[in-house]
Amino acid sequence: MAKFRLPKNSKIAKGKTIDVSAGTKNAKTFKVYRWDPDSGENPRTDLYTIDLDKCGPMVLDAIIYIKNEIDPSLTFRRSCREGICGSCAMNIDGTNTLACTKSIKSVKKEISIYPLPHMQVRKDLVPDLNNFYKQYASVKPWLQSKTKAPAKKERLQSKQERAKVDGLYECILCACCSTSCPSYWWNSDKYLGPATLLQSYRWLVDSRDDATDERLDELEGPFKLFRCHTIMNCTNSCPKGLNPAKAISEIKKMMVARGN
Amino acid sequence: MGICAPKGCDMSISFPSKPNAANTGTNHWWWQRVTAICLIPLSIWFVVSVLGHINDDHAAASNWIKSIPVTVLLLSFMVTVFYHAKFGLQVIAEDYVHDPSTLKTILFFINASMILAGLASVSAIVVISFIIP
Repeated sequence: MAKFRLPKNSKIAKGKTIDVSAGTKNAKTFKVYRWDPDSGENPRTDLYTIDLDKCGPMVLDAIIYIKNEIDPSLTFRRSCREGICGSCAMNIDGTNTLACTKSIKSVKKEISIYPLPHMQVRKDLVPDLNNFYKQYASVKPWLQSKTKAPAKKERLQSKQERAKVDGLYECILCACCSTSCPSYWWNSDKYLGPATLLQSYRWLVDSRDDATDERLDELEGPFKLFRCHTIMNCTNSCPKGLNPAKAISEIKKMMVARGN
Repeated sequence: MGICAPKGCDMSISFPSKPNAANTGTNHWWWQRVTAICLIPLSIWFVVSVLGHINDDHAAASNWIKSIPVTVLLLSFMVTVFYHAKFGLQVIAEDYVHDPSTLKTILFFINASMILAGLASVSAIVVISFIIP
């Protein structure tokens, strides 16, 4: 059955409080989830109060500042710092988003930072995304065509055909949507989740792809696709402004329309 | 991001690639919606009618049920409501019950109880309408 309480060793304790703001007016407190698998201790939340004049404007700037200046053991993923790699996805102020595009000023009070929800945590803000990537690979996210590639040129598309993948190809696989979905929380072993389904739809509507039937066959059954209950958290949380819920509905419509 | 190339990719994922029965998901989803749409007018009719007959005695209530349009609507309502309830309860069980054998047992009881409740309602209406003089 579903578990409604955290196991004893997952209960979050109160952690350290560190204030390096030196009484400045432009101070901000960050409440950061910390867990070190090697320590054997329960997870905790540390409070860091910093001077915002000493760091950049985004939440990622603040946690890099904390790592550089206060606690070098703070662990998180980051790379491009401009919302295109998807590495710094985390739960900030209660919403999954990218730390690099989330401005500190957009949160009035203390900013709480947790790893993406309902994933196994590797350390601090780093979730285990292995299952997420396996699910992505399971929809065969590459072009499958029954015709031979034309010699020395691309497979051509009309402008209208190309427009169909707008709003889909921009997905950066940050996992914000999937890990905000309650259906994915309860059944992530069987339900593919919004990110993977949006990617699947990206190939289903691609005019150059001929594996539509095979792709739809793969999504049949009560779990992989139809665990989506149109909760729409995915669309709410997407930091790229995409609409995975709509893509999933379109796949469901394709399933009904082909009549099985 | 670290997506592996198509060739040599680890495709071992924890669930079977083919579902046990073909089109179970699509049929379920489609009929859940069809029954939901049918239930909008049927439920409004049912609630309004029952409220309208709330002060009837036994004879008056039986006479109301005996009229052919009412019999047909009542039968449609009962069949649709239990069919829809079966779909809805099944979704809830599949969401929250993760042990396969427990899930199987619960789904059996959901199906059995919805079929029994549906049969009881339908036979009550048929008996009142067509058998009792």
